[in-house]
Amino acid sequence: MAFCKPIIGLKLDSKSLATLERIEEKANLGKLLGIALNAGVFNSIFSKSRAPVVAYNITQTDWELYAAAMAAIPIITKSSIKKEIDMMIIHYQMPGSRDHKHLDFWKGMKNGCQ
Amino acid sequence: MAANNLRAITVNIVLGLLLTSFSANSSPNDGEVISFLKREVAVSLKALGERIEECEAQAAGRKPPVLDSSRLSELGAGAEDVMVAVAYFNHINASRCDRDERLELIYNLGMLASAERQAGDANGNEQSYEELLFPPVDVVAYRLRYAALPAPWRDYFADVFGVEPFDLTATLKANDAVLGLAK
Repeated sequence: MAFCKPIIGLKLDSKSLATLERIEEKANLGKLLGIALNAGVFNSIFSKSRAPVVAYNITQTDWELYAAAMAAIPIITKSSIKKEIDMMIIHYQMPGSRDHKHLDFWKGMKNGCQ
Repeated sequence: MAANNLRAITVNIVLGLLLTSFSANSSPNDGEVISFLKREVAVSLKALGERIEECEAQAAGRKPPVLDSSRLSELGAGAEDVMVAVAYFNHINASRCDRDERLELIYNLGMLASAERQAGDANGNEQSYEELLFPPVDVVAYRLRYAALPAPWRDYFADVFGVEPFDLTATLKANDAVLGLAK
């Protein structure tokens, strides 16, 4: 089971709060990207004329590409969120803005409290 | 590179499928163009996802770069200068690793958005994904601060950090002593 370092009396400052908002925004953008892509990769359905057809042909390649693209979205989203967290770790470790409580919080966010 | 070869093969397959659907003397309609671009986006999403995983594995497998405290004293660089260097190389080495795939995806998303706007698609891809695909703007501040460091310091930092991505947490831990963080 993951172990999280207890943090007593943490009051997030404005910089951390702004970063948390950006993280939420990025998570939402990841979801929207999946929606925008939807099933548009299925060439046989979406690239023919808009007239109704009796049956579609969806190839194995269509399925594989669609699945691989959808699977990549959470990887890209997670990597983008990690970059925000890295910036927070660097900020709170920097002499002049060093803050152990904030640092422990963001390190926990990054490592999933390992 | 294997990932690039794989992507080229995938693109060829997709193009091959499309070429079988369209003849050279008929102009594709808006729907066909948008569908083609969605496939391009799908191909580049797949390529970027794979590349990110490769870069993360590379960073995790790399021994953390360690700075020498006596060399830093000799140069006159302090903990803050070291942190600026860590921030700079953390960003630059990671972005160098997946830059081609990231730019390809940004380009394809831009083309798709443009095609959907031109087609007057009410359900078009109006959302901008810049926030998701570009690094936090704060990295620019660290780039500027790093560029202002004396050249001999930058030479030393460049030698230590190299060009490959590294694990930030492990690197900070390995440099606790020079960063004055040892508890």
